[in-house]
Amino acid sequence: MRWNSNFAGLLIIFAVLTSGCLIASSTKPHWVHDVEWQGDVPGNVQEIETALWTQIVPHKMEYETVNITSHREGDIYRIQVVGISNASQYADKYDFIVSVDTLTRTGYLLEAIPHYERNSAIATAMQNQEVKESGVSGNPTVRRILPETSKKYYAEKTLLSVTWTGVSALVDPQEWRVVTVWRGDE
Amino acid sequence: MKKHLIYTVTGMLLISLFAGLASGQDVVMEMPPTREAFDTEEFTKLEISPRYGYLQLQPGTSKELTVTIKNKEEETITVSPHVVVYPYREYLFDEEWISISPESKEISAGGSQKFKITTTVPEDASIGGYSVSIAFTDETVPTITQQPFPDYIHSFHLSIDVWTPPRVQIQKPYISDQLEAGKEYDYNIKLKNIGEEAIAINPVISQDNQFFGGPFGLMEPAFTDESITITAPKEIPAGGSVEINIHVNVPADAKGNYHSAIDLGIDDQSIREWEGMVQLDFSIWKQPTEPFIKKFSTSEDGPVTIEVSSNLFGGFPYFASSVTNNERKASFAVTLTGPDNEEVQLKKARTIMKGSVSLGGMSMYGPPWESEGEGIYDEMGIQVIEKYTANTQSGEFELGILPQNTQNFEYTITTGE
Repeated sequence: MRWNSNFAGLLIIFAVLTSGCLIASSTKPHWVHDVEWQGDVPGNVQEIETALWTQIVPHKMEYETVNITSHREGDIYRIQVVGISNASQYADKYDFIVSVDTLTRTGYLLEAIPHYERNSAIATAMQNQEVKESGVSGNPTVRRILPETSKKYYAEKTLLSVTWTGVSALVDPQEWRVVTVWRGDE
Repeated sequence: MKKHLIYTVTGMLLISLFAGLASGQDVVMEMPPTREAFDTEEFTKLEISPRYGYLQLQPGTSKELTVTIKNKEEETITVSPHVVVYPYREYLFDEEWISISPESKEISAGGSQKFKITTTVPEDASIGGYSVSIAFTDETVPTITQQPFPDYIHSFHLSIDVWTPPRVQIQKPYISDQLEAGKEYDYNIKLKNIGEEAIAINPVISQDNQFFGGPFGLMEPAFTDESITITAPKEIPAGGSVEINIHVNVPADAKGNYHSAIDLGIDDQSIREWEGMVQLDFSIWKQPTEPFIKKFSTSEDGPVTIEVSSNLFGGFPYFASSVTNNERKASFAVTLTGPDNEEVQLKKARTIMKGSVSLGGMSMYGPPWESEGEGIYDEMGIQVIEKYTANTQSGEFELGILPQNTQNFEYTITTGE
């Protein structure tokens, strides 16, 4: 009986300490509900996650799950991050390299866009004269273009790229207008 | 009298014209800036890192950012940052919300200086997205015409998303489906109130969020809003959940697509315009009831192989995605009738699932602004291929194919080994 109560006491202390550690190690921002790691998980997961939350951000929604797949190549880790939201049927994908203690984003493909914005972007693009004249058909992709990329083509702000085969319109979602059009045949 | 007046006015005009020419006074015209004026050599060389920042702040909270300025000139430069507010944006930023430390600094040649930017959002700030710039010098990009809001060269752009945790949780803010003409459908939207007070709701079809775009360009919607009936309670009790029922009665002659949204009319400041919407995306599909028939003949006894494949890029429903696995897989009901009008037993030899995956990036198929997607797998479409075999005698045959969940398909008939 005495052994049982001692054991129960230890169990409670352990549970309290463990929960404290878990809370202390939680670095998730409010817009990430769950994080799952797969592959060659590096030792400094918490540091990587802390850096990661400054380099990825959902667009007008929250990520229900962030799946992180890590692959070790010598001294570096290649990390792919997939953000999945209940608010979109599509996902956000980011590629990173972790070298020593630096996390560098090497690419992104962001399609988790609220339906309202996705449809408005398609409608805006289809009303553009050049897009109309190119006779687009089929289901376009709609992708979020981050400000650091957008500045090369228009201005340093989030834009939406609506793309059919051979034709793409870059849409400014603040003003709902096409800022530039790309055609593969030009 | 009238003629006299015309002569007088014409004469006065001619005299004034010649007087102007004769006066020899130089007419000064302001010329647009030349190409040289745009030469970056004329601008002070300052490195600003980072150039862009993003903050998510709740009213009554603040956050700090650091921007580093590096002087690449060969002389000392004085940097005096100031906040630039664009008054034409939807939500007006108050420059008082930002404090910058130090207020001014001389940076020696080759030296650098960190500026601490503290953003504080007051309790009464409107929920929404704000945008502001911090200019570190007064140098602006020269323009041909005078601009009401100058474009500062040495600037840091800051986007601030002011938010509060929503008190109403929407289970899934979209309904997308493939509907058959003449049928009725019911959908539920679950709302949960995590607050301590009841919240009123008033869901209606949004009139300002419709567009009639479909996969083949602009088109009329497949049906009108009257085909949709919304049934909902008037409020969500504190800590409780409610269901909103959406009943869709698809007209028998409906064709094409229907896109709109339900504005849930949630009486809660924390819900932003787009968050209180449930998007409706329906594509109308007429499932054929009779199979496609193809007659063919064989001159020798032996095996016949039938291969049927769906369209690679035509998944269903139209808005389906491999991420959420709500795509309906294509399938086929295949029959073969022989020379004596008897059914030939077909053996399903194999089913193949074929995908098309892009590695993105800059190519002749994509725009340059999507180059950041290079190397990231992107599944473009899935194709289902079904292969059937039968041993037959020579004669006339009739192949029947009834497709399901695919808008077009291909078939191959092979006779012999």
